[in-house]
Amino acid sequence: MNCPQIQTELSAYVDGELPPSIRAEVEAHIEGCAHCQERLAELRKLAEGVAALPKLQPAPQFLAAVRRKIAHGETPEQKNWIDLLFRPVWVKVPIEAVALAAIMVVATVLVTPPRRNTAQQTLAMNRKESTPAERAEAQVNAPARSPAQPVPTVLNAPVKAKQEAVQSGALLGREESAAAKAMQERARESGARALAPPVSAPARAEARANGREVLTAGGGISGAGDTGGGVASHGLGVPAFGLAVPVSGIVRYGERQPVETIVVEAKDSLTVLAHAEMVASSLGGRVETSKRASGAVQSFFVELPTEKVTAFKAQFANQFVSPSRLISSTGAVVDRLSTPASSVSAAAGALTEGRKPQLGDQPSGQTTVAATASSGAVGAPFVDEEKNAAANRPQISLGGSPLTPQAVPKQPLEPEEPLPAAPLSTTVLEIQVVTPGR
Amino acid sequence: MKRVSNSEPAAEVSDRELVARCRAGDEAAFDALVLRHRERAFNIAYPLLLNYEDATEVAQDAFVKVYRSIGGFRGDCEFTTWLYQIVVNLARNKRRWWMRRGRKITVSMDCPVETPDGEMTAQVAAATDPPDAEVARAEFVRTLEERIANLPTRYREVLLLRNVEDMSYEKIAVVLDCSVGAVKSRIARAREALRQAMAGEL
Repeated sequence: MNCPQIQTELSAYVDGELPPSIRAEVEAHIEGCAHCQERLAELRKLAEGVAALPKLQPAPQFLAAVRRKIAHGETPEQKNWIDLLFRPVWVKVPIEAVALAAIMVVATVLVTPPRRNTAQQTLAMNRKESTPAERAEAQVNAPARSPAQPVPTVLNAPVKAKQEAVQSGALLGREESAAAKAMQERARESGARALAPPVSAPARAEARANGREVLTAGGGISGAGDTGGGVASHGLGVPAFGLAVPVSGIVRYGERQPVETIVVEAKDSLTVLAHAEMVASSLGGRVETSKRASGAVQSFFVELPTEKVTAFKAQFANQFVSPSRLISSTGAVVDRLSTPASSVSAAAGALTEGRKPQLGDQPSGQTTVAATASSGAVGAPFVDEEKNAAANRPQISLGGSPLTPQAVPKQPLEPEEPLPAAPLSTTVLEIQVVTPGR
Repeated sequence: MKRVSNSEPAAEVSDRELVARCRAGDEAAFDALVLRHRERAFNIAYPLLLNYEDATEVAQDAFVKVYRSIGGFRGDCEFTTWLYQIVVNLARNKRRWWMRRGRKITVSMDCPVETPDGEMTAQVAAATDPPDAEVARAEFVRTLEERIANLPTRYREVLLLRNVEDMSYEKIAVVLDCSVGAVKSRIARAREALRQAMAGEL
């Protein structure tokens, strides 16, 4: 062994703890190594010094104290509840934090009702005209495209869906009256503070699952999908028809905050736009488009006096002549007419009230409307929207049966009413046009 | 090595016999065990804790634990080994208890030790060397004690058990619940650390 190896053994050599063979080797080395001799002398001096450390007398009455502790039943290392809960801090606090987070996640999942059907499942079941390949694509694409679906934190309100035979309307002139402009300005002001629209994330998921693209202006709805919160919708329904209204998020569109998103499936988005403009202008509202680079309109906003929202939705749906399919709020596609000249489907929202006044300053009477396709069940509950509005009673969730043409009330266009001098509240709706086959 | 003299009664009775009697319910046998080993227990605890009250509490608690656990002590090792094991573990727990509360453990031999009887300075074991050499040795031991106090506890434990209690590596391994090889290497490292700490004194 060389010096370093010997020195590692010197300590045990001092203690007499080396086996004889190694001890002999160490002794042989030490005899001829002054350095190791010096090291050995130091170690011995240290060992002797430690052995000579002063000793203290224990406390008097030591035995009595021991006896007293035994008699009192004291247990060594008694811990109080703080020790049990928090100490050592660096061990228990992280564990407890992780456990708490896990509990919150589990609690959130438990509190949130599950989406009964995923969008792609619903669509696959209901898209009768879709090919197996399309269905397969939907099955594959939908989950992949929506990985960031937030944990739903809102109870999904039953969906009211309204289906009306509508006709393609001619493009209306886009001149806006001065009154409409003034109203728009006021609407922007109030809209900036308005409560956010319902989340249409489920609707988008549905459209994605269907192989279509749902586009939103400014990407605002995407944000809506990530926001939680929300209230049970205030349905105004009558049996047999309905609109879906889960209020599940807050969206800020800069100045503009649509409180409801209506998803329309149509081949020609301009037709939808023109129709919306016609109806809106007849009700004293206006339409603002958000043009894409391609020129196609995938999303636009309708600004209306709040009290006209219901009428707008009724007439908007009425104007489409031959909708062959309507995407219910659940994503179910209901075949209605046999001649789908222009396939238009809409999942509209129901009126809701009583949402949390988060942004405050909301004019009283503000109607918050939400539309989404999130309820999930095939043949989702439908509630007649017009009667809903008239009744203005709490939400009705009805067992969904496919709409029948007979059940669709024909809603004539309301005569144009003079605008209030200073409308206190306006509502911004967002219309999303989903183009089939995209 | 200087030992504190044992003047307690029943010193002639072996620990093994006292333990046996204690297990049989002989309270006097337990008292004899306490009186015989209280100083050892305390003088293991004190260098680890460097606090008189805490060392006293740990030593007393160790005997309380002995009293409660003596029925499960099968005599696989010597009573002292078992006792030291308890003391070391209680001292470790006490140190952890301190550390959680941010208490620093440093000691200077210049500071007198607080005892219930008043202050007392650390007493170096008497020696028969000439006065000059005695003074120098006392100074060396005082410095050594201070440097040991600043060593990591794991080093202090093995050094104390080895050189204060003169325990074999095997017993130390039992007390510290580790292997003999670990004891050997830990003692070597502890001595090396102490040697470096005492660089100017050797």
